[in-house]
Amino acid sequence: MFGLYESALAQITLGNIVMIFIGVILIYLGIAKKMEPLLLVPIGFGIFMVNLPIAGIMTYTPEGLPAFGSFKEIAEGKIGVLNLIYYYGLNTEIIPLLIFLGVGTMMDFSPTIARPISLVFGATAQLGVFASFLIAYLSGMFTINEAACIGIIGGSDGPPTVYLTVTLAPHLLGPITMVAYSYMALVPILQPPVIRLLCTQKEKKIFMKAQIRKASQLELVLFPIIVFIIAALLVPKCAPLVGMMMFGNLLKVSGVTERLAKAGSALNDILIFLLGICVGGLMPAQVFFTPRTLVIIGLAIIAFIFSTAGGILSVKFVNLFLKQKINPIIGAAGVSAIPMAARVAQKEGQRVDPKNYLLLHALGPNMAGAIGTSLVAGILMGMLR
Amino acid sequence: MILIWFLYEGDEMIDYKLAFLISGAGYGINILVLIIISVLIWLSNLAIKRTKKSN
Repeated sequence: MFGLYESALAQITLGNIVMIFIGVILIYLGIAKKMEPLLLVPIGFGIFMVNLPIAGIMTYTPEGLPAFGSFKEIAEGKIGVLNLIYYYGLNTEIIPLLIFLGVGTMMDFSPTIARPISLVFGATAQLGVFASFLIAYLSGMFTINEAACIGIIGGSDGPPTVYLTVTLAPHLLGPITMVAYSYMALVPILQPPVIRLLCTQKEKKIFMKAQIRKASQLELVLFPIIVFIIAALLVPKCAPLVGMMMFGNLLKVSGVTERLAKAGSALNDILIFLLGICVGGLMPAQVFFTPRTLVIIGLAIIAFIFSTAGGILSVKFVNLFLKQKINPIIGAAGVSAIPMAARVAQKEGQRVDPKNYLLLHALGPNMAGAIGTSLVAGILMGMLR
Repeated sequence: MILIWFLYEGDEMIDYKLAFLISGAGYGINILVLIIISVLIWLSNLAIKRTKKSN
């Protein structure tokens, strides 16, 4: 009689229990602490789904990659529904690209246009990507492709991280994406010590007007076009990412495609939960619990620290040539993590001078960071693929 | 993390030259591209302002 009924309890391992606990923590951080809830909640639930034995919501090959099949295999119980989402959404790279389209429809590049040098701060804040890439590769624990995917966590932007990892090291997609999104939520904890260490009291007091110049409609329309043409010409591999983001932004700023822009942001929401649950599905205990995952967690901290430092130091360098100095704290916002990093800059500035409103100024490098990370993803893909 | 690194026996040959080349060139290209874009944005802003003034 008991042969008719199969319980998963006997097959649950200690690893599964720990993973379910991690899922609970992510859901707690998302719901109770409101840290990146749109991602951490689906990722947490995805972890539940694949760590309950026999459920078969996602099945894996012996190499730890999701098994492939069609609806027929789902009906036969050979693969799960998350396998299909992974293959048609992530493996084809369509989900991260469409998310970037949606992100573009929500971005306002006015602060970047008002101060074009912000783009340079967004570029220099990619230092962490290359620093952690070097450390990861020279440690001998990771191949050069894996190291590049670990490095891109330092860009602190989800879609480029997913895009690059699916291409170069798909077996690491689960841990890398989880670490990337969790650390983005931890920007308010990771960045302030670096800012305090690198900026003198005098620098932190540099006052910046609360208002910035308002960009005209023509400037707003020209921006995505110029960025895409130059980026695609100089770094062709970044064209899908930058192209999607800039296309989305053009829909927003053109003034005549509002409906499409709204559809883009709605599409973004749909895709984000598919991405989240699929990333969670890539974290069964047998794949996640390796010493390398712990090292990835450590390297991501290094990436964030270097990226923050890169942004701050570049502002300090530029200040050497400027009459009207820029507060170096806004350089820290060059690590994408929109708008969290800009808020951190605002808070840190106001700790020293409560009348100093840095938010709008910090949003410039913050937006530029998203372009910078896409460029870096394209550069690494071009060099390593 | 350091402990894991000590215990880990890597099976990959490390190409130091390539690693430094990728990180140096990658970082440099990234900055260069964004400098070019920022100069073009600045020039276009300038051109728009001048056209407005002349009008």
